[in-house]
Amino acid sequence: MKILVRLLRSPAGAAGLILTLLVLLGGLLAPLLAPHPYAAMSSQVMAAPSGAAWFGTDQFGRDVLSRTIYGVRISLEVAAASAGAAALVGTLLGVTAGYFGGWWDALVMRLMGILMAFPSLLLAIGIMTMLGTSLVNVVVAIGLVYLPVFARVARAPVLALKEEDMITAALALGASNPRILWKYVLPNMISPVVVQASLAISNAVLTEAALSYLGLGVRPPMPSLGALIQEGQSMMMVAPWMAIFPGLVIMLMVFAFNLLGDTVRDQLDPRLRRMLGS
Amino acid sequence: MPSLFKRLAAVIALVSLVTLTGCTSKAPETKPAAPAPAPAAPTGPVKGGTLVIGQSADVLTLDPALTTDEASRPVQSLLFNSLVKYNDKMEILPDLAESYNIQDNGLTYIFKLRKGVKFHNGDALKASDVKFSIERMSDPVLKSRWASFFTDVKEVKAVDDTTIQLTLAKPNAAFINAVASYMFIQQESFVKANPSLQRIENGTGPFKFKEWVPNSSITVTRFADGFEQDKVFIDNVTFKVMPEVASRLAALRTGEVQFLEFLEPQFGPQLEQMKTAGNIDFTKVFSNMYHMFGFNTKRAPFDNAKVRQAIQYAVDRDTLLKTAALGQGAVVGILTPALGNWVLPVDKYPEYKRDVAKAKALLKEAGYEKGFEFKIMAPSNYPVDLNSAIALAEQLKEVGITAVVDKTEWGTYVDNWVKRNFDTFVGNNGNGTDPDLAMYAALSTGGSTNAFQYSDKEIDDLLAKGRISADPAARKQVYDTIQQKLVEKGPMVYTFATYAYYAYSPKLQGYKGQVVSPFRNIAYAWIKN
Amino acid sequence: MLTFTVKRLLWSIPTLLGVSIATFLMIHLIPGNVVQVMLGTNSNLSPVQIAELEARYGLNRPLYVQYLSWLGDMLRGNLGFSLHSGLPAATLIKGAFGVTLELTVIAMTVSVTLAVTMGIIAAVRRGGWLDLLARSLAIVGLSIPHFWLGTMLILAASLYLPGLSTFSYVPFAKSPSLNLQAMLLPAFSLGLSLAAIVMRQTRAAMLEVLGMQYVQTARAKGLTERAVILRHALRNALIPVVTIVGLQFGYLLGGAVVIENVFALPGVGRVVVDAINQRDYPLVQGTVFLIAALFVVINLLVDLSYGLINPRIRFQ
Repeated sequence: MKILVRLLRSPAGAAGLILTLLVLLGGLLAPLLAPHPYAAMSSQVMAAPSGAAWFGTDQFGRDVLSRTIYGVRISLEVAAASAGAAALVGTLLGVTAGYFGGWWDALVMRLMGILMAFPSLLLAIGIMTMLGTSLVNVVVAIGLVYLPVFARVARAPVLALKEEDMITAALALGASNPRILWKYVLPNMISPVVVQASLAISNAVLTEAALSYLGLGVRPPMPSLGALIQEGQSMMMVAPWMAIFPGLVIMLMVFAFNLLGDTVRDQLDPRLRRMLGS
Repeated sequence: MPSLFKRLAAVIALVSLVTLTGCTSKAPETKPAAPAPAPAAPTGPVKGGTLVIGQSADVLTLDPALTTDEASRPVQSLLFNSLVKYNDKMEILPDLAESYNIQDNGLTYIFKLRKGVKFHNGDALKASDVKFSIERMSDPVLKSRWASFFTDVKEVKAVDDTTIQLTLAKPNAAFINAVASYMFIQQESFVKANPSLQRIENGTGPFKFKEWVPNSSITVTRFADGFEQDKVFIDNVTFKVMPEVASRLAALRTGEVQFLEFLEPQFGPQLEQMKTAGNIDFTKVFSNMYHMFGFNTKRAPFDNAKVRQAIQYAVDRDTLLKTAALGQGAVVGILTPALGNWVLPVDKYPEYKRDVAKAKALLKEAGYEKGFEFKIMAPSNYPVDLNSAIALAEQLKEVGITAVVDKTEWGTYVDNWVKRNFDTFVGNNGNGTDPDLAMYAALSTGGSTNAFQYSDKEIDDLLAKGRISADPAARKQVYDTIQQKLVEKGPMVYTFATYAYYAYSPKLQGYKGQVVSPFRNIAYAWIKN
Repeated sequence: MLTFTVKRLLWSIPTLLGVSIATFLMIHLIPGNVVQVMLGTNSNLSPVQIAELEARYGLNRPLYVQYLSWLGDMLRGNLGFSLHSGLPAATLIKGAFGVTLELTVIAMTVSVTLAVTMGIIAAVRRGGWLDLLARSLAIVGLSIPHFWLGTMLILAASLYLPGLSTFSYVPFAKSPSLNLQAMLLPAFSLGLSLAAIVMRQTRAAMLEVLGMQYVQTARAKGLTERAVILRHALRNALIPVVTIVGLQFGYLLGGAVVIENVFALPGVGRVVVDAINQRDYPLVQGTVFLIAALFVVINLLVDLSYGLINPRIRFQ
């Protein structure tokens, strides 16, 4: 609650929160908000934006506004599912690896090293080509791509913390491993993980878009934002609204996440708060 | 690009093709060889200049016999000649052969070679080089993709320095077209002296190889001793690699490139717009490939002819053409307008008038009153086919059938096609000018491109009858029946055929587009100052 | 430190083996092969002819034999031949690496220099208008999909600034000016999000260390603010920044895949994507292996730089 109040006090935080809520609501309520089902076709083919169709229509006469609203929903599903899974699994792997060291560290980091030795998008492209286009496959591909980042980001501060006096002291006093992990290690590495997670969600939206751009996204007629841009791109000169509106919506969406993530990060960090004397 | 084979296979046996060149009517109809006096501005051919062409991929090889990709053909068509060639009306004209005649009921072809033709290295062309090139192409050791078009050749004989005699094992009306399409002539001594011809050449063509910057560009320059010297005006032609179509279009607009080919019709409206604004000019040509929606007739429910017919009634082809191909083409049956008189007009098919009630009734008769669910395999790199699948799925919903569009990467698509591992698929097929070429391999039981695994005794018998029928009227009767029956119970829904576009800078004059080797005709165009 | 480096390099051998096996399995699990892709769906070759072709490409051998023969050749420095073009894979890969390195180095140098400076200023002047400006720019930069930006830039450049950029790649050796002209828009599209990420990380890390005990101690000792920031704070703040820049190199290469396709640059990304689509196994294997080797080296450098920056982290 305190965080929320503080968040609302900072203009950037308030803006980020409101925009993010709008985006989330838009995604959640897509079936209510969208004037038409996303696959419904009409005879109004490639109509320019008007009162009847705010974002215009595409070459099948589908309403671009409706498809964009559903696109937000689907992009959000993909981003949240893949970034969430990657953050959870990755942090767990990274923290335990860094803390326990030994063979577990070696195994985890070796596997992460293999995953990380592929450029992220190439890895996703390879996985998608192997699995074929579908919603679940996109989540798997993007999740795997982000896994090692979380493991590494979580592990690095644990390594540094292990050198710090308080943990040495706690160990000397006979504190158990889970307790040390919970009490000293986790709180101290939460901020890089939160930064990374907020980046990962917005990056996942962009990665999905990039995969779709290369023809490897969700299955048509399902409209992810990336798929909408890809569909619109070849029509840029005759129906620019097809690619421009979804592109702007991606920007807005990622912008909202970043703004919020930034502010939350500043607010969450205990040392920062101390420094600011609040 | 994988479709080279398809595209060239499609045009084999073309004798006449409907080309639409109305869009270039503004361009002067001057013959390059004999410039007509221009009334307003001097528009006659001028020598000089460089033409830059944008291509989606780098050239793989300069060896025509070993070409497998789409990007290598255009440059080869400027470097090499065959014995005969097509003009823009798809008529066969002399090329390296100044004349030819067919004897023994189509079993013997005699080509008289043009005199004084020189290879790019200055050596004179000999009949033995022609013999060597034909034999090399069909040599099983070389494993040329194009060998199969010459399997009927029994013997090649260099009668004298300027006469070549080909003997066929059996008559083949398509043979001269295969010669025009695939038979580029190389020099025997040069080929034998060089183990790899990937990046060197010694042809007879109007241009010779100048420079190759891998992954960037390839440039050819006018061959001063070429036998068509007086008809060739442009000094250099550069093919630039630009994989993204957006970049190619932008480059055409800024003038960085002056010539582009668009095989997919969805750019038609944009090109129209650019033409109206005076930025470009273009020629459009009717493709002789038809787009279709094919069933796996070994899988339920598509093994049931009633279900297939119901789908024929459920499809709204006009809307498909309008949406998936942006209206850039025409609704067709299995035979495209390229086949002229053989084509049964589409109003002869009752199924082409959409009838949802009739479709539902047929489904009920077949025992699928409640509909069913299936997948449409659609190639991710062919937007027209992918979009067809999306529109089809929406149309089929109205008769209670649920179709899932399975967007599939090309390599996987081909793998599934080869293994017949699909419910249904969208794609395109080519047909020549003879209905037998269009139908036999695709529809006869066990035919090489019969991925539908379609097997129908009645159709098989009719196809066999059409093959041997000597009386044109009777033959037409047979193929009319087949066309009708194919829509009624066949393994495909034929949808539409589209245009190919050749867009260029308004400064390029005298260019005439045609569908087989559109780049060859660049040799006879010129750049206005 | 030397032993650490040697150890790490030895350590990386199993990683690279793992990468090559993973790549090999992945590409062979993708349906289809080079012969099928080449023939497409209108092939009139008989099954026997197709089998002959496949044998010519060595595709009929058992998988483990194919892998071991590739590995053996590779260890002897032979990357084989591209199945699609028939050219030596090494030649193709070398050319592609040159292009991608040029693109990423330009994008990285420019963006990191700008971003670290902006990040420090933003942290030191926290809450000020410079901070606000830097953060807003960073957030906007992070929010634009780079391929979308690229396409919009192409459209805008072709409509309004026809002389600004070229749309096809020219090698540096052939014409440095045309080469740089072709690199301008791609490097900008690619570098924008990196600059944003690095700026944010620098700022966050600086804020964090500025709040730490030893910085306050340093301040209490009466050191100038400049000395505190540059000598004490920055050193520690750079750890996560270096990690992120190191990690981002991978993202840059990934981003280069799309950017190279948008702007028609013949770099590694395009070569690999084309090779995957053509089922050109040796080319995929060779390229991915070399990228992986490069990554291992970069990760090692990142780890080594931790030690240089913060001696408290010991190399074990």
